[in-house]
Amino acid sequence: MKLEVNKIVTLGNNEEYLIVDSVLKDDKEYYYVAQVNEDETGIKDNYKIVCATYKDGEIYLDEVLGEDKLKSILPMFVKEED
Amino acid sequence: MLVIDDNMLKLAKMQEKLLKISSNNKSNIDKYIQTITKIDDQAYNSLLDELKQINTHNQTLEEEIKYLEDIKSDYTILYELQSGFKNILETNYINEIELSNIENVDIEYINTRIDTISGYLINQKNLEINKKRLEELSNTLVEEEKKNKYLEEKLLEYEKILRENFQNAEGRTIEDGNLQYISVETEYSTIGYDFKYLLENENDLKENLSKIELEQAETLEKLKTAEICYNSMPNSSSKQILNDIELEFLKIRYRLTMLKILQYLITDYSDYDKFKEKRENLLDLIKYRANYLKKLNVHISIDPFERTKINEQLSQISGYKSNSKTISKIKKEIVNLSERIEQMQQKDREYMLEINNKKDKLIINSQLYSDHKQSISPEKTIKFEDLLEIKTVEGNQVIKVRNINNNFNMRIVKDKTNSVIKRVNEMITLEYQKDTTPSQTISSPELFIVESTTPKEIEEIIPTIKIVGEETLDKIKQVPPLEQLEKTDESKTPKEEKRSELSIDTDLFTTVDPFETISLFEDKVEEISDNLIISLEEEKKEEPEELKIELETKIDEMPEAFWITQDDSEKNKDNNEQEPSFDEQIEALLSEDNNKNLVKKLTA
Repeated sequence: MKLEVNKIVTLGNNEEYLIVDSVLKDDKEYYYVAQVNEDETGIKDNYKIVCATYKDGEIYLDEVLGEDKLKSILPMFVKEED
Repeated sequence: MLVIDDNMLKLAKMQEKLLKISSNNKSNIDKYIQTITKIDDQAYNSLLDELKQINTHNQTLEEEIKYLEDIKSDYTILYELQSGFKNILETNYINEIELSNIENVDIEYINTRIDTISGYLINQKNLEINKKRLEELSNTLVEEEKKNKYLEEKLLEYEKILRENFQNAEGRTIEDGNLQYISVETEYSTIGYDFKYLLENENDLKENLSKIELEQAETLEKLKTAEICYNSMPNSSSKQILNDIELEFLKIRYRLTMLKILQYLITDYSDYDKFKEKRENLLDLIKYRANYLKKLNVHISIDPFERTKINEQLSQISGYKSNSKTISKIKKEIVNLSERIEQMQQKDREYMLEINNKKDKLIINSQLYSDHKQSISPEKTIKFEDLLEIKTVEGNQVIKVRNINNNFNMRIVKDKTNSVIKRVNEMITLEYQKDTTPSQTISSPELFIVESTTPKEIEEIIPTIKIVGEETLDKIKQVPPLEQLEKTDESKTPKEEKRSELSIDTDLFTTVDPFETISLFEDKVEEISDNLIISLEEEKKEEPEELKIELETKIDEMPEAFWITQDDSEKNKDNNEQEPSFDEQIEALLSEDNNKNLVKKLTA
């Protein structure tokens, strides 16, 4: 399994998220994800910044919480308009 | 009866063959899983229906065991069917499959019950057979004993005849050239015994026997001495003495033989073997007697002892067979059989106790049964991906990564997500700047964020919402209403693209909650109106324009996402539903009675 932008990941709690964007910071992978709706035609209003950790060949997505962390990571996901 | 669709089964077999050819084809595996799931569901449901037909009353044990054996047979078929499916899936590296849970069937009880009932029935049958056998043996024993009685009577009759034969037996001898009449009785009388008297007086016979045996022993000693004398002094005198003693010893042996014949004659034997043995011994004795007579120079032309018809009796009784062995065998068998029957009766009582402990349900957990019914609803289809290593998966563990499907509206999603992240970033940046400006006391994006904790703490959480500064509220009010934004998705043209982005931006702002403080309020104000506690604090008197208001309330559920504030399951309407505009939400908030003081202070 490989996490890539524009792919849908299913978590152990059966929630499905679309990987919107990804950044690498301090050797850590951060992903901007949005929860996929039931029909799988779009997304719900549930967005998260998650950090991927790898253990025993499995991938875990931990939500990034905390003001300081968000302050440092969020700007990296903002794309300049053309 | 287990219901298995033959066509579906054939289809599954064909799909198995396909999997052998191309084992890594996910599509084939998905189809195979769908087929076997249907087969399994159908079969399992029919088994459950069968289980529910258990009859706790008005059922004979034979009927019950037939019912249980049918269930067991169906269970075995389903079990083997599932094992076959699982084997195929394992060979295709799928370790788990959610087939029906046949462990819900109380097969252990069914097996035990079958064993108990069949044991009881077999025991009953054996008991009946053994009782019948015992009866037959008893009858046979009676018959054999009758035969034995008859034989005994017959043998005793022959004994009597034999004595009569001895009494009546006649012969001839030549004495002094003349043929003389002789009989058994006269022969006994010539040696000094009363034949008839001794036949009737056993004690006298025994006394005479003792005497003659003693005499024989003494004569034997004499004979040995005479032999020694003759050997030491072999002369005519010693020879004569030896010959005389030998003759005397011969006569004693003859008389002893005659008394032994009498002793046999007075003893009757009803036992076949002894009866036969007696006659054989008599014949031997008669033979010895004849030899002695010959040595004593007594010539008998017609021996009366040979006319006692002993051989004739032996040939006659050979037609009768002794059944004494048969009788003893029957008696032994009867004893063993009686013991066995007693054991069986004991076992029978034990079985009866077990049989009375009957369950009225053959399903271990009826709740599980109902769960199964839900789980096997047609809407649910197990897919290949669902089955990949599900062992102990944690909530945040990625179990699957897949591509988006064709129906996924990527363009709208991109617009939304970009707008959201941009907006969030702007807010953070804005608050960060304020935080770093000396004249400002707003120091954190917490300003509009419900202080969220980890989900584990949700139940206990009492979030604090802080509104700091009028300026911030004004900023929020500048956001366009939701109605403008809703139209953008429906009729977007390339020309409008740029404007559309702005609209989406606002739309998302309205719908995305961390920055929709008002939306949060809208969500919570009504619920918490009773519990709403507004506490106004002036943290620093040096900064009178800044008010810090803490709204403390309990909420039932906290959002997982860091900026989501509404229950997604309720809110999820593909963002197409009309929601209150930002202004409306502000108004709603301000119109609350409990917040009037707050508003006044804010507007002051």
